[in-house]
Amino acid sequence: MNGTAQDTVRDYLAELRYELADLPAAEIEDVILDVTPQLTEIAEDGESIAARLGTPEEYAAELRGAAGLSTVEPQRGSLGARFAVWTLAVCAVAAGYGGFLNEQLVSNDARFVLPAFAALLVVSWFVVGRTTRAVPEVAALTEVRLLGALRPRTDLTRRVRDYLVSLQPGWFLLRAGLAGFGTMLVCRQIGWYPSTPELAALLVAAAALAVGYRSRADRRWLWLSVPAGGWAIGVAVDLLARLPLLFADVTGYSGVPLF
Amino acid sequence: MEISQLLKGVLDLAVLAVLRDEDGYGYEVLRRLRGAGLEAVGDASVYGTLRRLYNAGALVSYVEPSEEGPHRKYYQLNDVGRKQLAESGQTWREFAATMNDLVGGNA
Repeated sequence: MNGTAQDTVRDYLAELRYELADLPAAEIEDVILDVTPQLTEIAEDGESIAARLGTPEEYAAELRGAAGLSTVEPQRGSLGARFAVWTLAVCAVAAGYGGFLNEQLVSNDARFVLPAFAALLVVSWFVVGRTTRAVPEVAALTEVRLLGALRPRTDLTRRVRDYLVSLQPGWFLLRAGLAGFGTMLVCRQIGWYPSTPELAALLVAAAALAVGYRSRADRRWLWLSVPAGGWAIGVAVDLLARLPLLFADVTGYSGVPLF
Repeated sequence: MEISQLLKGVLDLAVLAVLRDEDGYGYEVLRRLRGAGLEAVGDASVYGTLRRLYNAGALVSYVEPSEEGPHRKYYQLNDVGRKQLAESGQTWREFAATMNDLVGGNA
């Protein structure tokens, strides 16, 4: 099989796996083994798999229907799912604001509010913890399906998506660094014992990296990964805002030397 | 009348029938069905039906490497499957005869 055909098959199978992610792993592997010979033949003929067989979403739906396998239930638990997804969105923004404030958090009124958001986030973990890897209850929500409609359908948008996905490991690393750095600034401001801030920074960076990778196969980790991303972006915005100060020959605006 | 609608009720029987004399992997089963004249059969429906029959204990499977490409998982009828084929086949013949009488009489 040539490289392009291999890529085409791999991409289609990856999306199919995602669509079937709530099934037992052994069942998914059996299905993949069944369908691969035909997908390979179509790809080797230079044809589009989606044009012949439908999108992975449609293919998975037809397969589930014929196999009598569990289908995504749109109604069940959707109140909890709605709570979880909106909590995630709000907490990501709150984490972004927290990251933007970073060392000022210690003196800012936000220090009273942000823990409340954190508590909400913890509650949402219990909601998503009860569901499966692909969080079908959340995927069935109208607001999430509307987002899903933006999924790439054409070759060009797929290529853009693939390019962005290829940047993901780099983003995870950058994000880990930023999240850790922001944590260090906060801990220093609290005035913890020397080297504790650095240790906290390393722990947060490692955790941010780990949850990022885990969330790719298990969407439930997004409930940690997305706030971590928000925090990192907030820190990045603050650092960018401080850049001009580097050239102005002054220390950070809170009186703490920047680096 | 839509053939695909009719197929839904008898796909189990059709899949069991093409596995009666010879084991086959998924794509092979699909091609046998198409070759027999069931052009309208849906690709994913055939794979889904194989999984359902397998999970219901009517088929067993074994994997064999292929020189041409990916591994192939062959499906084979077992006693449960053979019994189901015999019973469903009998039901089908009676049903088809009834329908033939009914429709034939009006033609």
